Amino acid sequence: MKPELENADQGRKLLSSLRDAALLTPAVYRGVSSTGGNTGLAFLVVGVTALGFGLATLLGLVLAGSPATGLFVGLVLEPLVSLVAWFGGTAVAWAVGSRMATPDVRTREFWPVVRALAFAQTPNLVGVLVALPTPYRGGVWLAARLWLLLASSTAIRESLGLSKGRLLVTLTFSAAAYTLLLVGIIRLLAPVGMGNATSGSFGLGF
Amino acid sequence: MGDGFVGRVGRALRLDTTLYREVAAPGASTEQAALTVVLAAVGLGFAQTGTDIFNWLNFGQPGLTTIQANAWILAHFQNAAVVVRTLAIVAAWPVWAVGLWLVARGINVRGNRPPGFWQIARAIGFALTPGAFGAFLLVPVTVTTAFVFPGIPSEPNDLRDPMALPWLGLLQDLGWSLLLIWVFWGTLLAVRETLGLTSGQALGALVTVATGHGLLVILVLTIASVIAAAIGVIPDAFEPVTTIAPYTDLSERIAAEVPAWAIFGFDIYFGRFISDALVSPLSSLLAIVR
Repeated sequence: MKPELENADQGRKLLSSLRDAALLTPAVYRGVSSTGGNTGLAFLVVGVTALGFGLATLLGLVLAGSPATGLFVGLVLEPLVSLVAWFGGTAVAWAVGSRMATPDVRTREFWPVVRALAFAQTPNLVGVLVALPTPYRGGVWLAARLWLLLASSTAIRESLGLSKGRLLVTLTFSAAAYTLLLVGIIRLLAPVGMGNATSGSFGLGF
Repeated sequence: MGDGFVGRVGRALRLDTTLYREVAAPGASTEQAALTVVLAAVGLGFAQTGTDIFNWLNFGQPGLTTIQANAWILAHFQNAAVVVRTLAIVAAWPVWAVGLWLVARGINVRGNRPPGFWQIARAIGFALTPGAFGAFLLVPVTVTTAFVFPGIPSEPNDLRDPMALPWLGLLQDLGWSLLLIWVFWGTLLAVRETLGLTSGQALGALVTVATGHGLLVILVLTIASVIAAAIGVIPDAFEPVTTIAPYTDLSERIAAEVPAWAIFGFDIYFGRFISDALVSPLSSLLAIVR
């Protein structure tokens, strides 16, 4: 097969995987967490999906007359904050989940869990709809956050093979770490004037 | 596609009875059922917010000036209203599943193994799918504000003056009724198929669980009110909240009305079903005739 056709085929496969990951298809999470998965691609997925809320921020700040701030916060700062919070949440999920897993666990390695939880970030793309006016914004924000939680639940279960009770404990710790990191970074950014813009874009300040 | 998720959503909208048995089977994805609940709850949250605002616009408080009416709309056209209602509906889902699970255990006189909690939860979760269409029921309210906002600020704004308002109100109420009937019918079928009951028995199970749920909500809100009064958040646990002028303090108004939104949200399954499905369209029709 020609290289460009091969690339197009891989692109289609990736889009299909992203769509199925957003629809909480267990097989996708099992596939990406199996040995030989592409961890670099997983990081790329997190970065691209973080642009969902980022684009909403960009649009909001452009309409408010601050396009330069919008570009920086929406396309650079927010994806970075998302990436850090996601990685922290993933590390906690692995630390808690792998210790609670039964002996016949699917994996105890770190990177397969990272890949699965990276694809669980696809619902973040819905965040672009946070640009809608009130009160649509509140509903969309809540839907995107709960969707993300459900995708993370599927990813943790499929990568670590946990039972429902253990999954719930792992998910609680992971979500708590993710939220604390997100809120903590926003607080840290407040003194340099970026806290409000970022918290607004993540929907925390509505 | 999506492990049949999109197909299942389509079948839930068509009220395909085989779907409920399929998703109730062991091994089906509970997260996918939960996702349908989330999307439906957001839709129903939008619909409730839109319908309540519309009913006020159609029937409430005539003689307000335009500036007062606009302030009232802005006070109710809030993200928080949708979020609280949505969370209340999402929280009601496991409560209903527990109730139906208890009913299933109680009526298990024939010796068949009753379905488990998660099986029932998945089936009634998919039954909520039509609720997602509720997002469209905010559109008439958005259109209506175009009639209200341009009025002369200090003069009375009779919101019923433009003839389009009652017609939009009727459309809103019919849409809300259709949505509730659709969700109710799906839930009835889900309960019937999952628990192996007749339609009459399934209706009885729903009434039983709705009653239990209502009592639980009253109990929780009463305890919360007593605690709130004890720590001084509200002056009296059993004193009705006095009406706060709609245009004085937005945050005060929201704080006062959040419990009411929660009750409406919890009650989505049954409590408002009869009144909203039957009374609201009739009221709208009467407004047009009048």
